[in-house]
Amino acid sequence: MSKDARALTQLSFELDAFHSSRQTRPLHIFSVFPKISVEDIPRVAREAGVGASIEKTGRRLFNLEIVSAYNRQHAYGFLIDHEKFWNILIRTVESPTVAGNVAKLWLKRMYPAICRSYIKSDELLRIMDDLSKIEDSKLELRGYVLRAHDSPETMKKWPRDKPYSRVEIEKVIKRENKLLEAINFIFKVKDTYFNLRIESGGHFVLYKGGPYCFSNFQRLVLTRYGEIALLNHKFFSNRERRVVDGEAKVSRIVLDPITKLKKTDLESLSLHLSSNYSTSVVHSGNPWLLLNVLDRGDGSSFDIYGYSSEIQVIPFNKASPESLMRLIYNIYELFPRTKIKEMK
Amino acid sequence: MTLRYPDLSSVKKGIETELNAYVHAINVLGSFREYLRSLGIQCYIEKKVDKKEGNHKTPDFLIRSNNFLMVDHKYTESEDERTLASKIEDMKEYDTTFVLPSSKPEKQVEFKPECVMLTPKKAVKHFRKILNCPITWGYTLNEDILIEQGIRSVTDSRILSLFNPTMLCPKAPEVAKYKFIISHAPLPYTACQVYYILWTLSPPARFFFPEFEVKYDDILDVFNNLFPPWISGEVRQLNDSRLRKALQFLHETGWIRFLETENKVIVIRRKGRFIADLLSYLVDRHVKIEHAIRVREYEKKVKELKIEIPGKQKQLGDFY
Repeated sequence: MSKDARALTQLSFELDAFHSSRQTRPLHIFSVFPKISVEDIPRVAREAGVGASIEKTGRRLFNLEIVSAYNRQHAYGFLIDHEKFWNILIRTVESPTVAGNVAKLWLKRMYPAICRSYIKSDELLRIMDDLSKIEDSKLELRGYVLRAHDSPETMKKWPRDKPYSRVEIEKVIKRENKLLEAINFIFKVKDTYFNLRIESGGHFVLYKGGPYCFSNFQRLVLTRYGEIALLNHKFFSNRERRVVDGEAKVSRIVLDPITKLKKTDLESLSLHLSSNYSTSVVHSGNPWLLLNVLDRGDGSSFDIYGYSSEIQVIPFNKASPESLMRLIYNIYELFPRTKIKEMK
Repeated sequence: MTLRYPDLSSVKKGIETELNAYVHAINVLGSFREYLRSLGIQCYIEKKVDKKEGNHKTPDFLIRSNNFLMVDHKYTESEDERTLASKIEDMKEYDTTFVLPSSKPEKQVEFKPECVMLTPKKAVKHFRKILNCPITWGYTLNEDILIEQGIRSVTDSRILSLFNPTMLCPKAPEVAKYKFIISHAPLPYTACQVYYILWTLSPPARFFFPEFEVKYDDILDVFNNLFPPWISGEVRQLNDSRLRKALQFLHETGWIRFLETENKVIVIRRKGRFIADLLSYLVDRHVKIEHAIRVREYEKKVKELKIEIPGKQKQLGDFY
């Protein structure tokens, strides 16, 4: 076993032991896409107005300390470098929520150097489906969180003895026209279990569990999430406008909002995006919207054509997959049932 | 002509109209071209054509069907008779014989085109009130482009057969690639597009630096690619002046520093980040500048008129 593998196994043992004890301090895990190397974190964090220090303990494993801009609060944990993405594990020292919030705010300030990953409601449910299919397993849903851009999160409780049902959750999502933001569940298989909250934005909270709970979570959930997030990342990569033999080539992403959009919907879209991006309304017809969108984080730029039956996103000559993914997720927030129709 | 103090709102209206006209022209002409080409009809956007008696014209759209049709996009939101009449007057320039140039003299084609004025459908009813209005097509630009023969009809049977009674021209996805045509774009529009280009040229891994530098030539390269391939290469020569004007305008807003002598631009990241609609902000800035220019012109003219008022006693000695 290499030194690196030993270090990672050692970490898993430690976390297995810690979270299977009677302690109640959760572990926060974030799956993120980096645009910098791990060694650059302290310097880039300083430039972003936050703080960080790292210490290498294996080839892919690092101890990490982060400092948020607000109140200079600290959080400690580990960083596992999977090259294309990182898993950042933050241990709770004080109250159960502080470490998670410190990390969330830190990641927000670090965008676009470090970008949160996103998966859609149906992909989140796909992970749940996969868990429910494991032999001798039992999936106990505790509740789930729905969100819409214009209303606060709503927590939906799940009856204690009722088995997990994707169909039923989807019915509620459709009825309320919201995004599935998070699911809280207990997964049991044979003698072990873990209690986990999984968010569409790549944030996991491992509350507690039995023996090997962290290892099982990593093997059954984190790896699966990573696969989906990586596929999404690949899907949104290399979409920039290019000029080949003097002719412009664009790669548009066509979104199907399922229901017909009205002029007011397109106005809401431009208003919604203007809170996160620098936007320019070039044309606002009935129903036709032409919007230029600039992500000031990394300089990615897009044109959005809004029609009653579809929304087209046309990346400009710089369009990072992280920024494009974030933009599409922002559109999902407004029109949760939207589906990617085709890529042209 | 009465001399009126320039009204800020009418200056703004004028610039917004100019902007709408430009966006409409790109979408309507671009889509119309794609549609006719799909039907096997030859057509050109902004093709330079020689007049037989000398000089040349660049109609917005030239259709080579059974006849030659020259279509000029005349966008207006005004009902003002003088504005409408001036647009009709412009169309008279097409009422002559043209020559399609060719390197071989025997292949040169002489023609007297049918002239069509293409306007938003809303404007057709205002043009209808004016005598001697040319053949006019009205269009509605939404998800698709709906064109109808508003005033009289063309005689070209092939084109005429496309109207049944309207012509539905699907908005061409190709058009989304391009942001400019030859016609001069309104300054706020060009400046806005240039500002987006500047950000796309931001260096990687310097995300949190307060400013970044972009080379002038790099902007020009990207800027040129925003013109569609139907535009001839010579147009690129014009871009330099358009780009400089746009950068000077952005410099005035404080969003960038344009170091002309060093041929580089410094973009200040924090500037403009709380502005919800960049284009509308740039329009407002431009309106203020334009308004100030017009006020200065007005004051100059008033001053000249005061001097020229006959019989006005300038000093007591004038009576003797």
